Amino acid sequence: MKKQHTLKLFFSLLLVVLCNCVQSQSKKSKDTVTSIPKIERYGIRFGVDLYKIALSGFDKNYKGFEIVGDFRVTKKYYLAAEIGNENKNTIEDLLNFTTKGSYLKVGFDFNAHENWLNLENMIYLGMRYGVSTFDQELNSFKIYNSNPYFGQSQSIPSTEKFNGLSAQWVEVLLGVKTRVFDSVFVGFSLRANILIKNSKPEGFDNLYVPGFNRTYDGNFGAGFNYTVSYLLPIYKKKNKINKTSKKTN
Amino acid sequence: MKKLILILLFCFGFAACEKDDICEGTTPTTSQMVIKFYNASNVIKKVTNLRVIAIGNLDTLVLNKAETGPRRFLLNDTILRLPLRITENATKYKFLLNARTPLEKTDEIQFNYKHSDIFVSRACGFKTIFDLNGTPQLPFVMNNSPEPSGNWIQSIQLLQPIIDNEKTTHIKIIF
Repeated sequence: MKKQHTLKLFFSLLLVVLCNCVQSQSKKSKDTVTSIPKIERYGIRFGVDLYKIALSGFDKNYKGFEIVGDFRVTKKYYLAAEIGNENKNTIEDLLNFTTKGSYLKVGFDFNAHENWLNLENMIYLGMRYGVSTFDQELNSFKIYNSNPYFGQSQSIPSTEKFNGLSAQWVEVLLGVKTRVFDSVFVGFSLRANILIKNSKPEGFDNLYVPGFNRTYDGNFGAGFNYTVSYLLPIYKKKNKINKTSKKTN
Repeated sequence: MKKLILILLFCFGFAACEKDDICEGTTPTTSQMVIKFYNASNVIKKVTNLRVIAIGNLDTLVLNKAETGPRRFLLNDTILRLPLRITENATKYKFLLNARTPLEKTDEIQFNYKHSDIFVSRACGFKTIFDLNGTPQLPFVMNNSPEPSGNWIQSIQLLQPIIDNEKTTHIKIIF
């Protein structure tokens, strides 16, 4: 479990680095005074989360996928959504349970990165509203015993099912996307989640929510995705790079 | 935009700090049975050098964690906390008063109960709740006879059949 905290600390630090990166980028663009007309592509981009596919391959306790998509609305704003399905068997010291369900996340991305000429990279911030419906099955459990006189509890098998569960949450995310060639993009995003609604079952808890990931005692959670996506251009717009309109942070 | 970054950092910070991997001692888990000792005129009374062993268990129950050596197994107090078997419907204990002295007296009590498992949390798993009135049998049987009096115990009374916390007294022993 310590590993997980270290991972989160790493993400937090990475976040700081990325934030600095955004700021230095904006400073750089302020210095250049040009007015070359730039052609911006607008369209629908869709892709998949490679991390979930890879995990499904090598972790026998996990099967899942996520399809991502976004639509460029203005120069900087994108409508964005993710849809996915997960089937995860969580094995812990005292509990063994399986969570199966689907989720949908809808929101927007704001590209904070000023591109040079025909580059189409993104360093973006975004928000999502997520909903998930899922079932849980308890496979086995142990009884916590504060007095060891009769020894520690053996794993007790169970077949208890908790169906028709749901949860809703908000995600705040930070991500990067880079065009690797033609219309293919690769990127990743880090997400901080806050549970808003959580229908807990009688006699158990939503310890894992598809799309939200592991839950904690409070309402916070964290997520991650690594995507490869394809842009289907619909129309093009000519933009003038106007330096003075650049916001100073 | 700076605000958004701050919120994001704040959230990640919180997620990293939330600790729920360790079952804390303050979380109520499986409770032990609380027994209080009284004299015949219903005044609370200390037992002297009480030793307790579960039948079928080789070890003597540690009753005084503060002590070291053989004194760990001796109780000189008015209150006794007994763990019950979580996977069976009965636990039988041998109670030795004035243990290891010429005045030693022994009584055996079998406690009959129904047990059910309740979810607590990710870190604490499940806990067991015992119901001493949950079986067709008597809640306790002393020295294999239905007579509720023994060699040093005069009588036993059931005060609270449901064992789900250690704040209330479940059993009263008069001696």
